Amino acid sequence: MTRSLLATISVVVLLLAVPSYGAELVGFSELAHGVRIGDDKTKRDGYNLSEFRTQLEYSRVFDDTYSTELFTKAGFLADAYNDDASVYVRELNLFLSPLDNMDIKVGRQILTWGVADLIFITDVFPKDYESFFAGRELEYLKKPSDAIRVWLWLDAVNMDIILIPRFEPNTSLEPKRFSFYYPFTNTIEGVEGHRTLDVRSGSEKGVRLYRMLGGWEAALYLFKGFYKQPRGIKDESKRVFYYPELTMYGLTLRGQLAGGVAYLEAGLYDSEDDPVGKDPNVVNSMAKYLVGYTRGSDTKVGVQYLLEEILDYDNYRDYLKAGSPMLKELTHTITLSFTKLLLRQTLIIDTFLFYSPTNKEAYFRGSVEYKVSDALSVTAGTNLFDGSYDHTEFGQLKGNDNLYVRLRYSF
Amino acid sequence: MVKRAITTIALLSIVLLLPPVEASSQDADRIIEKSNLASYYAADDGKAKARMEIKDRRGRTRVRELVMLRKDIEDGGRQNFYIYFTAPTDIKGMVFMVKKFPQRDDDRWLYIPAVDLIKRIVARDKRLSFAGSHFTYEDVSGRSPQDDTHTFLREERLGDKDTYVIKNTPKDKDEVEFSYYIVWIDKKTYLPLKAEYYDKKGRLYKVLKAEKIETIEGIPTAVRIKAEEVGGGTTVVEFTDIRYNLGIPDSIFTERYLRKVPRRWIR
Repeated sequence: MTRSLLATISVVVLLLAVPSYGAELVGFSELAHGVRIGDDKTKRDGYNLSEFRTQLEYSRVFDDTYSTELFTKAGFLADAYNDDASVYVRELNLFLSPLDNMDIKVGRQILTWGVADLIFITDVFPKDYESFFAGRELEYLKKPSDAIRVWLWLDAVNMDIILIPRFEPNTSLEPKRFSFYYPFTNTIEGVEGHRTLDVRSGSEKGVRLYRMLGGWEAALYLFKGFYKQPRGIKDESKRVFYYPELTMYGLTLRGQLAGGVAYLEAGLYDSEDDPVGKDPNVVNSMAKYLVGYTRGSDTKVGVQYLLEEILDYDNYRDYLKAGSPMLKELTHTITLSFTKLLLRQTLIIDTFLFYSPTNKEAYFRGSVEYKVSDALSVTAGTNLFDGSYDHTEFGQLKGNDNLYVRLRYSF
Repeated sequence: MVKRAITTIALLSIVLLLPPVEASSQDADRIIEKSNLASYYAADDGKAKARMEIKDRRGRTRVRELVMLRKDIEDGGRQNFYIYFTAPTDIKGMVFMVKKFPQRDDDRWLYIPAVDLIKRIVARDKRLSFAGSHFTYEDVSGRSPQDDTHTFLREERLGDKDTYVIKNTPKDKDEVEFSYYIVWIDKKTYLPLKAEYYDKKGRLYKVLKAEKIETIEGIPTAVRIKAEEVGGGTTVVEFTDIRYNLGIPDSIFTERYLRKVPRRWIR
C-alpha cells in the first residue's frame, strides 16, 4: 500500500512537471477510494473502489471556417481493486461540416439522447453502471460508442442520424466488485457468482427528428439495435446471457413552465426477439412514460415520475418459468433531486433519490464537492441501496452500499 | 406695436439667456434607456474575450475565461448571446446560450461536452452569480429598464466625467435581492460608470465600477469592470479582442453550434 501510494505521488509529481501546451492540452489526475459499508460477498473486504487515473484531452482545429476539428480524450487507469492498469481512449473523433447544413462526427464519441435526469428512455446508448454505482465521476456513466453521427439542419426539422457499425453493450456490473441477483439461482451472488455475456456482433442505427415549437423543444426518435443490458438468457445451464434485439420509438418535449423546466419523455421498447411476449428467456416489450419538472439553479429541486408497462403481460404471466419472481404489469418510480451550490459555486451538494413503491426499492446517491482552487477539488459521496426483494433493479444491489472520496487535480 | 415688439424681444432674451436645459428636468427613463442601449446593444453584434478574476474575502483567486458573442435582433429588445468557456479545465468547452426576450422569460441552454448533454436552464434566477463571480446573470446580459422605476437624483462629477445619478427601484421587490440601486451614467457616452446596490435594510452591499473605458471602432466600451462586495470579495473582468459589426449569422445561436464550436467567430 505504501509503495503504491509512493508510486502514485511520484506520478503526480512527474505530471506536474510536464509543461502545459496552452489551451490545446488539458487534463487531470485523480485518486478515488470507496469504502464498502454494506454486506460483503465480493472479492475485496471493505472496499469496492480504489484507483488512480490520469486523463488528457487534446483538441486540434484544422480549419476554423468550417470547424474541422480533431478531439481526443484518453487516459491511464491504475485499478487497485482489480490489480490491473490500463490505457483507455474515451473519445477520438473528427468533426466536419461538408455541407452548409450538414455536420458529421466520426469516431469514438459520447452519444446522448433524451431529456430526463438519470433515467434513460430514448438514450439507448451504452452506459457504465459499474462506474455509476462505485462512485466514479458522473461523466463515466456515459460509455463511448464508435459511431458515425450526421446532423442535417433543415428549415422544417433537424435530423440527427447515428450509425454504430459494431454494437457495444453497457459495462454491466462485475461479479467480483458487486453482488447482485442471478435468475438461475434466484438469489444474490457475489464473487462466487459467474455468468457469460454473449455479445452478438451487429450494427445499430437511429434517427432523431427535432425542432423548436415556440419555446418548446420537441423530438421524435427511432432506433434499431440491441438492448444494452443482457435482457435475454441464451443458455440457462451454462449461465449465458445475451443482448436481444430492440426497436425503440420515442418522443420528448421540453420547455419552460411556471418558472421551471418541464419535460416529458416516452418510449416504446419493441423486443424483437420476443414479439408476443411468450419467451420467458427474453424481456417483453415495454412502454415507458416519464414526466419531470425542475426549478431553481443555485438551489435546484427536481421531481420525476416514471411509469413502465410490460406489454403482452398475459403472455408474460402465462409463460413465466416456475419459481421466477413475477414482475408487476405497471411499475411506478419517483425520483427526487436536490442540488445546492454554495460559496460562489465552489461547494456543490448533490443528492438524488430513486424510489419505486411497486418494487419496494430505493437508491440514494449523494455527494459533496469542494473546489479548493481552480485546480484542486475534493468530492465525498455515497451510494445507498434498499429493497424488499432480491430481483429488483436496486433491491439486488443492497449489499453494495459505499462511501467514497475523490481527489482531483486539473491542469 | 413697438411695445409688443419690445415685449417679444425681452421674452426671447430671457429664453435665450436661460441656462441650457438642466438634466434635472430630463427624463430619467430616457437616460436609463440610452444607457441600456450603450451598454448592451452597441452596434448590431459584438464579440469579446473575457477574463474574470474572482477573489474571495481571504484573497483566494479563481479565474474564468470565456469568449462571448452577441447579436441584437432589435435595439433594446430581443437579443442572443453565445458564451464559450475556455478555462479552467473543469468547465472548458461548455457553452452557455441565451435567447433574451423582453416580454417573457429568456430561453437558456448549457451544453456539457463531456456527456454530450444539452441542459435547459431556468431563466428566473437572474440575480444569481454568473459562473461563480460577483457579477449576476443580469450584469452580463442586462437588466430590463422596465423592471425598475427610475428617479433622477442629481448631476455629479465622477473622476473626470460628468454624470447623471439615477436611483432605480424594482417594481417587483420579491424578484431581486436589492431594495434599490444608484447608477452614475456618463453624460457623453451614456455608459454606466458606477453602480451601488443597497440591500433590503438599506445598507450598501455591492459596488460595480467601470474602471477602464476605451473607444473601439468608434464605440465607447467598458473594457475593465470591477464588482466589489462590501467587506467581501471582488471580481474583475477584463475584455480583450473586442470587435463590433462582424456580421455574426443568426444560426450561431442555435442548437447546432452548441456542439460545433464556431471557431471562426470565437478565435
